[in-house]
Amino acid sequence: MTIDPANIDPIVQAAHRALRAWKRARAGSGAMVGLGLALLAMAGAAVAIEVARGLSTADLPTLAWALLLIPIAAAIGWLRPLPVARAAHELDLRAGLEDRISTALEFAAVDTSIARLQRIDAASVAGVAAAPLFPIPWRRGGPWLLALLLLALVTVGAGLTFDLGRSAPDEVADDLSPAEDLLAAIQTEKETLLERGDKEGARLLDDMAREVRKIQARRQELKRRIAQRKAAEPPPPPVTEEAQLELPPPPSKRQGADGERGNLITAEDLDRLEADMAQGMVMSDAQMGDLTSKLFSGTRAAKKLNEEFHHHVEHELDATMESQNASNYGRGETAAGTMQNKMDGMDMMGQGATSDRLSSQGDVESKGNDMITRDLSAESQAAHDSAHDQQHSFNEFLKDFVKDMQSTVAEAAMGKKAKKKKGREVQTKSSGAMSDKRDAMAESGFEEMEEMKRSSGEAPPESTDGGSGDGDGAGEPGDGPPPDNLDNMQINEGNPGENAIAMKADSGGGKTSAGASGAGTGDPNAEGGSRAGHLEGLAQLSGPLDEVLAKLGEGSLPDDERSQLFERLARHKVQAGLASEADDVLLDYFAQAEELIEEEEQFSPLFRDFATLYFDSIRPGGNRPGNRSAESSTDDAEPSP
Amino acid sequence: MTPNPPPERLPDLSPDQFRDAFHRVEAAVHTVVVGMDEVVRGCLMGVVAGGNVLLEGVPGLGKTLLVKSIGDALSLSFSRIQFTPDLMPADITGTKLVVEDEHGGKRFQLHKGPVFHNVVLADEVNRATPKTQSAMLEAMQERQVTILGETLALPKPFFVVATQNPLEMDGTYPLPEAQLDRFFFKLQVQFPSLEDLRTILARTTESETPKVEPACDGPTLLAMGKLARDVMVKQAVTDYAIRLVLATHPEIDGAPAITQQYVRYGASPRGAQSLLLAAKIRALLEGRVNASHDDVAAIARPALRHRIILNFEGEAEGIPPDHVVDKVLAAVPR
Repeated sequence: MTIDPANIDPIVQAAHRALRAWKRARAGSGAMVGLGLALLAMAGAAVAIEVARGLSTADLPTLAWALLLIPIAAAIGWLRPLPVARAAHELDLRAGLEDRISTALEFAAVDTSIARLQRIDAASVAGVAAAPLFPIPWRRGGPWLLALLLLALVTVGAGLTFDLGRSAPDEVADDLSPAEDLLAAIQTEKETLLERGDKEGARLLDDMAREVRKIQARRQELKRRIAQRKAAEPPPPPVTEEAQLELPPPPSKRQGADGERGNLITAEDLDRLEADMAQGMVMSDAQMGDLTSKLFSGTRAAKKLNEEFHHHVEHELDATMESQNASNYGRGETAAGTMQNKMDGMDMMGQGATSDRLSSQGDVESKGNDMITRDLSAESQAAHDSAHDQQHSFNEFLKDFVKDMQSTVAEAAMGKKAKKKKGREVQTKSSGAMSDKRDAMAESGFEEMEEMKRSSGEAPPESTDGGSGDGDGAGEPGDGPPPDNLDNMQINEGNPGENAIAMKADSGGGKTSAGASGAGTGDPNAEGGSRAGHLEGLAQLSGPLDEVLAKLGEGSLPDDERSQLFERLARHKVQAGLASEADDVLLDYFAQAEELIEEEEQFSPLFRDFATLYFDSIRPGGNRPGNRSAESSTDDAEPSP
Repeated sequence: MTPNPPPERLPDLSPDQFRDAFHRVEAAVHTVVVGMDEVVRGCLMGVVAGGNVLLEGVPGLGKTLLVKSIGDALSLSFSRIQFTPDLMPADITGTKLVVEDEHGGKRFQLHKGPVFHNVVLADEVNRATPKTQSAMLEAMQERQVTILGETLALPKPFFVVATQNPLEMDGTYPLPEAQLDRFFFKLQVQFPSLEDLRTILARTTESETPKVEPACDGPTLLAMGKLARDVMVKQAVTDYAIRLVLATHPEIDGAPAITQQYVRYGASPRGAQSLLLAAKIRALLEGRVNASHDDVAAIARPALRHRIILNFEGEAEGIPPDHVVDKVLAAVPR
């Protein structure tokens, strides 16, 4: 084959083939570099996302954006300037052509004999295949790519498998009711207060609105995350307990400065707001209740605590019903048999083993149906008595609490600024009533007990009305425990059929003291004056809380309503933060109640644990429900009588 | 043999003819010289390029025989000058003597020295004094000599093959850098191998010693040199040769570490010329009419080794110049 020495085309074509092959190789190298960078970026982004908010499959498309680095790097490799002479030189080097092609290209315009000879020489080797000479360096970059791929897979896989970072509490966010309605309600209420000239109330509502906005902002963030997560993951992952606990903004600290106390939400504000909501003026009670209830009870610990509370109430109710049934058998029994029961109950309150002695001796002094009563073993009788004691103590606790709350509400309604200190005095006095009662019982001895029993047993139920109400005025710390109150309890145990009457009569006095009529019929000393003033304020209140408090004061509050009361109180706590005056009352009262629980040995461990946990859960700065409740609930799963 | 007169017109040679002629001369030399392939090729390349060659080797390795054989193969006149300390420049270049003519008158008559030959062997050139050595400078570079004010051109082709003994340094005068730089190549004559020794003994102990037959003449040799200079060298190869030379200079930025450490002064521009010209000849011998990077790299050692002046540290540590050249070759990208 003859080669035209003037034809430079084969050499140029060889150079261009080398150029394309080299560009392909550079694009391939660029793609490899891009892939490596993409994998590195994916691994880094996965770690960052995992640490920040937890990696999910919804983030995979975001991570996949890093793959764009591959075509970008490949394009850079392809489009990077590359002269033909350089490609020819590279072809000479890689193919071992001893610079034939590049020299021929360089001297293409030279027309000498030696140049022609050189072109012929170069054209003879120009048919060399260029593509194999410019391979993509898979062998060199392969191990790196494999290592980066493994790194990315491990990182993303670990991020998807293990929840190393914080996960979004989507369930809690879903549970949050619209906060905009609440803000609107607060704004309306604020305008109303401003029209009335109540600037303090408006300021308090501003505080509340600020808290709600925080919740709202958190909720919106959570919803955004949920939407992002649900986009790629239809079944949302379960919400962790920590995430739920994260939702309600925890109160940082209690406001202690006196100057800040003016911004606190009063019980009056809460009642007014609640009443307005109940009347549907601003916001439905269901909405408000739903919001506040979920804020508090959204946590598992709170739910568990409520369950324990209900369990305890059921146990308490069962024990009461059992006792009532047992007593119903002896409804027509003689007074001696009744008294025996009373004595048994009294014995269990700390007077010795009288009931055991009587039961073990098979005392047959009672007549008629007394055998049925005696069939009750000393153990079961003691259990019943203990349950009743607990119920009694709990009722006492509630009654005292109601009185304190009513006092506080009344004072707030009357707008008395000096109510706080006095209210605490009232609390101290009223809460001291229970301990005084116990002390009196311990000191009075058996004779006094006998006298108390005698007097109560003889007294008709109706006659206890005024006496109990007056004596249980909870305002006479110097008088010691009113015996009629204790007597009522004894009668209730002995004669459950009269329980409702007796309790109603007893609490009727309480209501009288806190209600609209009959105030001041009790002892008109010390507390009498303020209580009369309270009553005037209470007459102006008609909110649901007051209604519940009234029922509680009557002693006729059913178990479910009683639990609702606590729940609502807790709601108030959450809603108003830790700075309401109602909380002050609660704080003092709960502190005393805790002391009572700790000191009172006759309370069952379950009740003691429950009460402690409950107080911890709603007490500002107390332990959040969770660990302790779990431990104590498992340890004391079996309620002891 | 009298020196050939300069040819009026050089014959046109093709690359193939060049290669054939070169190989013929090689083969003719090898009829007498055993082994020393690279030395023979290097000497012939120097002859073709019109340069001078410095042979370094211990005595008795056949250096003189080699040079004489090259002269015989090229049909060129040959002279041998044994350099000794008492050798005078006139002993090399010649002088003018007072002679009496037939009429009884006296006049100066030029008496040419041994340098007036095509091939001059300067044996043990480092034994002569610097004054005598410098007498060779003009002849080697300018192809002419000046005797008592009269400048005389040397015959063409002309080249000097000098030898020196690397061992016996007593009573020697090492060649100055300027004179070293005038040598196209510096070739190192190695001790022959066992096989070569056998052949040498067989050839030299027989009754008939082989003779070198002329394989080429002067005009052809000059035509070969002309063709070699026409070989095409692209700019990248030229730049490569330049970068190699520059890399031997420690004062140049980016010089290799070994240069900076052991070299006092690098190759001169004559070194780059030698590189490029030798690369062209090598390309022709390889069947190409273009010099490549490989050609330059292949002749870098003989072209640069005598042009690299080691510093005290390099001399003290016995760093061979070839090692420096190798490092430079490795450091300079193509």
